[in-house]
Amino acid sequence: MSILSNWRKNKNKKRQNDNYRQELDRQKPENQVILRNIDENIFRIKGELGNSSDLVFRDFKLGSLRGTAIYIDGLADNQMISDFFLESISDSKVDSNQNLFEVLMRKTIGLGNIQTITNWNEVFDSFLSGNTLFFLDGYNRAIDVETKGWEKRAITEPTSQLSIRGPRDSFTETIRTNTALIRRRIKSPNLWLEPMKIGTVTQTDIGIMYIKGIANEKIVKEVKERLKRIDIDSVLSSGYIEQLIEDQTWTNFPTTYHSERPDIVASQLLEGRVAILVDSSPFVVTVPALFIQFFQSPDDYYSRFDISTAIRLLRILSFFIAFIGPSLYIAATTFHQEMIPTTLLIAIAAQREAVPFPAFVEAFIMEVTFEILREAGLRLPRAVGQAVSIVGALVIGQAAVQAGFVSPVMVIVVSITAIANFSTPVFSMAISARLLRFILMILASILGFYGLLLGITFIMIHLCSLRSFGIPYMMPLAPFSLRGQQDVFIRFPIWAMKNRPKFISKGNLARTGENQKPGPPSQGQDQTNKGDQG
Amino acid sequence: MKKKILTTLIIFLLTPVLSSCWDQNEMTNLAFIMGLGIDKGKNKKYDVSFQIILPRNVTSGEGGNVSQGPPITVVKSPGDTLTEASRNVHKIVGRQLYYAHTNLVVVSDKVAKDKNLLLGFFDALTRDPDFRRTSQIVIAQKAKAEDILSALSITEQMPVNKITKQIQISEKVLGKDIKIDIDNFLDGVVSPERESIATGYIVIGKKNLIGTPKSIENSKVSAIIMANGLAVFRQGKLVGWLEGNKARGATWVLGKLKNTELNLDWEGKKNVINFVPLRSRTSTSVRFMNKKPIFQVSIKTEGWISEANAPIDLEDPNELTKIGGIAEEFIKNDILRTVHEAQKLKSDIFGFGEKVHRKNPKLWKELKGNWNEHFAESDVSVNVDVYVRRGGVRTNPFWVDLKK
Amino acid sequence: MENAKINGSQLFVLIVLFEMGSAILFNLGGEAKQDAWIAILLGLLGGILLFLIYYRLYKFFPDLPLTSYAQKIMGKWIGKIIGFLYIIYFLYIAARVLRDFGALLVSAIYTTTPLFVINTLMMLTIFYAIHKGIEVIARVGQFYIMVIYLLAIVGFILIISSGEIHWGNLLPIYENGWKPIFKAVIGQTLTFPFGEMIVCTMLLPFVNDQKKAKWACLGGMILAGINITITVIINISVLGVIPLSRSSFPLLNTIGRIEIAEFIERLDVFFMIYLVIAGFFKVTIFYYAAVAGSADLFQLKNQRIITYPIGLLILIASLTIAESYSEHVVEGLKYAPYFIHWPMQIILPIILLIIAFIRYNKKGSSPSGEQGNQGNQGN
Repeated sequence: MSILSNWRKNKNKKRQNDNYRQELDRQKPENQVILRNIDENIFRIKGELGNSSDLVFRDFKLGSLRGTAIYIDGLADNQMISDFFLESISDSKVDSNQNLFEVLMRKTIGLGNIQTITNWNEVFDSFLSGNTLFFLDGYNRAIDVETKGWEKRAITEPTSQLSIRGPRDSFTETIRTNTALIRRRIKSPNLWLEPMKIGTVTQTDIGIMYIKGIANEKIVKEVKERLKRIDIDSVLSSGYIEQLIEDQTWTNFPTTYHSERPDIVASQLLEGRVAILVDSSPFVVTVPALFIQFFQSPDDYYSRFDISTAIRLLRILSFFIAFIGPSLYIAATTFHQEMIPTTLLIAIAAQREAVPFPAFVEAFIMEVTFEILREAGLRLPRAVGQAVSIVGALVIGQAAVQAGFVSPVMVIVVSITAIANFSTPVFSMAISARLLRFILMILASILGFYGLLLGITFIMIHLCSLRSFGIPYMMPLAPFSLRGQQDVFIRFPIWAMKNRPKFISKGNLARTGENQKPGPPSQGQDQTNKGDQG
Repeated sequence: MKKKILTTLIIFLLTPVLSSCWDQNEMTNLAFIMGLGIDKGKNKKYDVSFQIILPRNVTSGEGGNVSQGPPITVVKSPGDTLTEASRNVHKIVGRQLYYAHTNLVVVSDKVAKDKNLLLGFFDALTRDPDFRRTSQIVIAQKAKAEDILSALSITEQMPVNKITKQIQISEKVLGKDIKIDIDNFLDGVVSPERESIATGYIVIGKKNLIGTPKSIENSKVSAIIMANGLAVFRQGKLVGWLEGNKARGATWVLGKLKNTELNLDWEGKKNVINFVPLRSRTSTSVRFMNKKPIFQVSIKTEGWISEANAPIDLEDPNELTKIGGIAEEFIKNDILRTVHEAQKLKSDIFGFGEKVHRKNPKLWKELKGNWNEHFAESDVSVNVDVYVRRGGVRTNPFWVDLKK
Repeated sequence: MENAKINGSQLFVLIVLFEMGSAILFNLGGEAKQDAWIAILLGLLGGILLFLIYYRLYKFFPDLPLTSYAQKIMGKWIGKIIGFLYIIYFLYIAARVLRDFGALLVSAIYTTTPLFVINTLMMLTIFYAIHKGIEVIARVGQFYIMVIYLLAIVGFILIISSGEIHWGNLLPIYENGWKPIFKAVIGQTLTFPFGEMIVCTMLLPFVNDQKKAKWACLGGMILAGINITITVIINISVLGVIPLSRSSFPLLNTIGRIEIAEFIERLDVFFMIYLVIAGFFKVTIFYYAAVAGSADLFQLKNQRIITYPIGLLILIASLTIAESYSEHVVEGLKYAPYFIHWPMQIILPIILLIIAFIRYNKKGSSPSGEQGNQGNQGN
């Protein structure tokens, strides 16, 4: 019952949060405007930021008026601003009859995109996101110049979704770089990007990207609505957004897809999905996500269809092994010994003779050990991580077997399961299999295959009841769609995938033109220059 | 909604606690019975022997060292029923007996000769859900079932495999043994259309050594078991044996024979040519004359000459045809001898009744009650076609040159 | 009534799974001996005729389940009683089927596990499915039918390559004349499984395309009928007539005969996978019909309220319906067809149809105002 009481506690906490947020709101000078007196403005800014040391004020004189440029050190491009002061402001002579504000505006055009703001609220938005604000004494306006230029991580190779033939770039933490990476792939005016800010405190930039005319309007609308509904103080990663816009929280399976590869996101967009980019997260979320999508790897499309089909089937098989491997072993060795071929049974029995644990406990211990190893290997610094896996694999495996704690068969089962688990291309799907595996193990230890089958049926019902943005999660399979089968178990040749999946994109379905099937040239059997020989 | 999920979860999580023991059997608590032996008991009806495999002595555990000791142990237990005997074993064995891998049932000829004894244990075998239907049945001839069951094997680590594999290979290349499982056997007992047969096993060598490591210690084996002949049953009772070539005749008529060898005479010399049939097809048809069935067994076989110890011109197609003719005659006589033997025993082991039933259901209703008598009196003709295809990797035998 | 829609192919899949259901497990048409397959095909024919009756009724009231239109045809009170009888009937069969599957598992595989545990766990899974609604059930069906066909094909190949099939066992045909065949048809194969299509009167209103509904049902019945026939033919030709008649679960024995290379043998698991899937769907559909029927009869807005009590009722009934398996079988094969199935599957629907004809066809107009003119369009 502790879960319920926790739940109630959380409700109270939520109420406290609301109070806190109201206070924040009161502090915010919502409808206040910029004052004419520059000193007062500076004083207020300093006051509200608590004299933060990374806030830079650069005073200058324009004609007869005092001015101040405000930016945040590290967010704005320091070099650019310095150059600007050197060249434009210091040595310029200004006619004092002119409207000095407009003079300043003209000068700052060279720096970047400019904008005049009068609202106090926008002041913070501006320099906190890397812009520079120019105040001029006597004017109740300020000039907001885009000078974003913080240290960025370079575009590197993807680390979690590898591919053999695919492109080598991956998203970074900067939303602008990410949008550029996608737009470089889809040079179409129909690729639309809608900005949004989420996070009452963090004010994180969000971009909703989709291809107009291919994406389903309803889904786009739904995405926008769900994003608008979000009221949270902080968004630190796209993972936050994912969890806030899911159709169902009570599930083990991911109902949104995320990728760090621009090529995957581009292909998703071209299928009619909607991408959600979050600043400061190198993972772009795409919705709707379907079950089968988590088994499609970019290499499937870059290599020929027969090979990719075989590999995809292998991947699905290995997901299945990762899912039920240990529970099959438990069910077979403790309930259904009759189905193990006699010789194999004798071999297993011989190994198990000296093992002190029941099969379930043995499997459970080994699985948990393995999970610990994996987690440790993941968190530790890279150099140490390898050492951990060696220690884990060799020492624990070997020593446990030799000491007679576990049977060699069990080690084989656990290793196969683990390796199979790694072959799922998307981590979020792989981890759901990992968790459910333990439940299936318990069921198999209670009632053997019957328990296992009921467990699988349970999961099946659950999977079939899931939806991702209104699209049934198991879509081309259940409800079954014959047309959707071209990219499920069998990846059809590119020329045969004539249409986009109908259940995601509405309208504009044609993907390829007619007669795209390649073949040898119609006339003349080969292309050697027969004429020359004569 | 959440409460419901929670309750469901709790129920699920509690079940392992509640259910700890139903049907769950750790392997270390099981004794795998590989074979059953059924002898006539002294006080009780049966003396049942259970062959329990000792996995550690069969395959290497960890470290690769096989423990010393025999791979099996045979436990004997008396009982009026099979279940009683099997429960009584627990006075000796501390593990639960597990029958799902029992591949062999050995029945002593003393039990087989007594109808009540023989049929008295079959129900237990078919009723038990664990017991496999494909378990083979063999008859211990002039030996105790216990001896056959406890014999160690030279080539196989699991002695049961020695028998099952041996029957299988023998059925395939020799055709004198036949694989009969309990379903087939019972079918023969119950069905009025046919009778059962089963392969027999005898002990050769020193009988008292059987079951001891000594029996196979030396490269010259001192005691071993051997397949020998087919036991013929009539209405659930052992009535006789078909041995040697007569056994082959039976498998031939039943269409189970694929491959065998025949010693043929040539120009007065006895057993000089050996003909090996490779493919055989048997078909049996029935006609009726005055409400009496007449059976015609047709066999088509093709093969090659594996030995020719006489000066024959094998390059001459006519000679091959001639050999074919001799083989035809040979097979025909073989089969007829078998058929006459079966008729003498009044046991329709060939399933001829089935042919009558299918061809003429009305007549079958009349004959059904006393079919074995009718079978004994019915005419059987055999028609054999032999095609000699080739003669191995030599043309003429060296005998041809020797003659010069 | 739940506000859900399923499409034609989903209905088809559900019908196939439902009809095959437990019919494949038993010695169906055993009275006809080696002619059992003829009895099944004749049963299928009769079943199709029965379905046409149900379908005709459905065409009168395309948006209503049986429990509702019984009230329209027979008047409110008599109709309510009939509706109630049908709910009880669905409950009863659901309980019977659950017992069948439980008993099978207990006698063949889980010999020491209490029936209560087996049935409760099955019921929990089914309850979850009902909770998710007919759409989800239909989707799961689309998945599982692939699994079943995969198993069936693999099983078929294995049994053939084991060399266990003796086609001769099917001979002679009509050995005992037509009498036992007809007896098997009337006493068994007509009502079980084909007459059980009465349940589709509760499902048809959920179908989004009326025209497809007819062919989905007919196609499903025929495919299921063919599958059952093939299974029975294989059972007979592998086991032979006499051992078949002695066997409680012929399919299990047939699968037990598979033995290839001493490696592929004892494929009881195949059997169990089929058993669980088929049992799941059959019970689920009857259970669902009962739930939807009572929600309709008692005018409940949220049918989830009664899902749980009805589930509990089925579970308890499945355990107490008979003391022993034999009693259960005797009840199911000797009494149920004549005293329960015939009235509910054949007599009542025919009466309903006749009265509907008299009441509505004379007027030549639609049966009721709220139905609009859709009802008679197909005439």
